[in-house]
Amino acid sequence: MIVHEHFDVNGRDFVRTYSDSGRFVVREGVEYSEACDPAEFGRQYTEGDLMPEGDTDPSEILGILLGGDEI
Amino acid sequence: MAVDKLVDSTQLDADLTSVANAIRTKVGTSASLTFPAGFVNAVEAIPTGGGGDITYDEIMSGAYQSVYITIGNVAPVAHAFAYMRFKGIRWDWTSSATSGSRAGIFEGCPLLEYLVMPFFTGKFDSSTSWDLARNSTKLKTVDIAMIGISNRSFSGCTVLDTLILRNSSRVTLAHINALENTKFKSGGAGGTIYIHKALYDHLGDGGSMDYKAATNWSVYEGYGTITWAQIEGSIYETQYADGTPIT
Repeated sequence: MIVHEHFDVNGRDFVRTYSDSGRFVVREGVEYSEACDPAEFGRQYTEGDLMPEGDTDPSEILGILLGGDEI
Repeated sequence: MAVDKLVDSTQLDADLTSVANAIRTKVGTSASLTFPAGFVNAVEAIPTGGGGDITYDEIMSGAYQSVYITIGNVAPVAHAFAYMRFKGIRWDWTSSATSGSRAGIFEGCPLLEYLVMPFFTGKFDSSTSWDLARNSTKLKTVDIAMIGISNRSFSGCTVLDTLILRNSSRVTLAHINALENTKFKSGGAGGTIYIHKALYDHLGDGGSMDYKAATNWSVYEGYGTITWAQIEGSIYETQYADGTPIT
């Protein structure tokens, strides 16, 4: 489902909108991983496609290859 | 020492300056060069090429660290140039599509100062194509035409302070993390974003073309770290960030 969280930027109220089911949020056909908007705009989003579970950080792979952590 | 030639010192200075300028252009520096040692050292530092293959080891050793590379109309692949050691990259990939599975193309390039992609007017799909140039810690200037900036594209580019957004439409920022830990961050030194006049004129009107009101961009506007500027009338009207003229 869509989640809204308020936060403040220099005294102005913003809303962070995201999906708690790992989906993009969509407004006017545009996908956002997470959408932050001035609260006064009252922007509404719908849930879109699933986002990937998580990327493998290449720097972690590089560390392993160069003799860092053991697998 | 034999003193047996008369020279026109003015002409000699001009000729030496001409040679020095040619060397500086070739190696990508603006530093002064002493004669003859500086000239010799700079020329000897030019990577050997002459049409032979460039090896991965050469690139990673820093042999091309003062070099701009220009890539033609070739589609990138994920991590194609990640961690490689170039000073600047210009990629002339021509596409208007939404492109997936191309994560980290220029991620972690430790020497990269300029990134120019003038003909890619599509966007990288945020579901599979994040981290475009993440953690390229010398990246200062990005000159792009894409319509969307995906997750963490420039996250960790700690000296990034100049964005040239050439798309005629307002560019989408998929997540505020795309510019995190750049000079645009909260409390950061700030930077300049160049946009076309047609968009610049909408700044502050709250409409669909207003960057200041746009999703995620509005947060950075709230930080007070963006100076908006017009491409028209700037040096970027006639040249790309790598100094090449716009034709």
